Amino acid sequence: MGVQVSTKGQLEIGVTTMVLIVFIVLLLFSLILYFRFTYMEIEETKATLLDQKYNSLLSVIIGMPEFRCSRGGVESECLDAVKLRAFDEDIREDNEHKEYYKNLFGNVKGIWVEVPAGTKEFGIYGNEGSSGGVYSVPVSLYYPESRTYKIGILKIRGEL
Amino acid sequence: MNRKGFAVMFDWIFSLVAGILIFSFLIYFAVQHTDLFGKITSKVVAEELDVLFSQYETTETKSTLDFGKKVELEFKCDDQDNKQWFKVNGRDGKRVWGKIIFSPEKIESQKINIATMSWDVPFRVANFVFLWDKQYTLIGEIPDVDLLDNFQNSNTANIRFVDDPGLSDDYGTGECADFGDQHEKIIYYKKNLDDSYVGYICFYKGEGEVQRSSFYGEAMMIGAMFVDGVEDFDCIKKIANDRLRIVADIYDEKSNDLVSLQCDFSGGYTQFGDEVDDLKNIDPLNINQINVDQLKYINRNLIGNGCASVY
Repeated sequence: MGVQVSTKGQLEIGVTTMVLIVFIVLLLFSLILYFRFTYMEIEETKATLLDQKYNSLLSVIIGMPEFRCSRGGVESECLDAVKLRAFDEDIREDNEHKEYYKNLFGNVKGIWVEVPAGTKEFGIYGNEGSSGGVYSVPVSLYYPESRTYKIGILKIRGEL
Repeated sequence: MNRKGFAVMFDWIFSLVAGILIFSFLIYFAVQHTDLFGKITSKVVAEELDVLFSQYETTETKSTLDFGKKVELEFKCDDQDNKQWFKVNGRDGKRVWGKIIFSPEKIESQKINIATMSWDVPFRVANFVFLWDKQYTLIGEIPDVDLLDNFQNSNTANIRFVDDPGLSDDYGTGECADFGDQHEKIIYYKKNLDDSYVGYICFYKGEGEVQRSSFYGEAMMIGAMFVDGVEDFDCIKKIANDRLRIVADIYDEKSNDLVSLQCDFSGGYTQFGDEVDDLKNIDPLNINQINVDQLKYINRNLIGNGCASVY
């Protein structure tokens, strides 16, 4: 024989269930809000880190022996145009080295050196693309054949 | 059981089950949350350290990193794919790209020493990054390297330096002298006329176990001081050698490009290219000093004859 629950009992169960539902809804709502803010904070941290990374990458590229100019082993504050050309034409697409630079430059979309009009620009990695921010720094370019210097701009197109 | 009694019992059981469920739910999220932040903090620290290492790597320097609280850094070199990685506080490993780091396997300290030194073969291939926390003590014929002034001399030293001007050509192989457990490492070196260093290191592991590995250049000799074992040292050497191949390729291409240049010693560019080719193809763990000397000689001659230097 089944137990008959009174109207009062049913009401109490209904009220308790309602309180629980409201409580859980509020809890879920606050958790969603909380994690949304946390996510935004993480995104902000990511943006700051990427910003740091791209800025640091500019100085890393300028300091890399692959591009830096030197005479008799003594390095100077400039990039060697012949090395840049060799890198653009032969090294960057070389399967042996491709993986290394892909890992080194990470999520960067493109790295290139812009030179004054009429002179070929040098590609270092990826392509110039159009989306994402551009980080740049002026560089001095040395052309060993003519022993001349020109001004160039080292540019990075990042993810942000 | 009467109706009232059942209603009261139902309330209690229902509250208890619901309470336990909500409580478990909160605890689960709290734990997840704490863990998440631990992971994020380690990830952020790892990324920031990576950026910091990159910045240090571009210049020759010595400094101290103060984290404000004890940090555990773990470094490993994977000899399967010749890659280095590090962990911060035992969490998520971060691969190291483009940097060559010589450090003990584990560093646990609030303050960590960092120094960099360029590795020239004979052109600069990379700036090695050195990291250490413990105080190394040195003994023997300590080479004249500025960075070593930061370490104390002691009779109970971790590291002994031995100047060995009569180093044979096969210095990369052979037995190590038995010093028992007196030192962690003995570094046998020869300083060449051009101030470059070559030699080998004997790593003592205790209980008479000793292993030997060769080095080329001042930076690699100093780097060996901070590495715990021969396996890690050989693995880092392979990474350094991979890097040498890339940079050598650049100089090979550059010398090919300059061949057409009109100057009194334009044949020097072809010679340089040939020598660089040899350098790329030698045994990765034994760089040939004759080869390096030849590259230096050609480059010097190029400059002396009014040609553009290759490096």
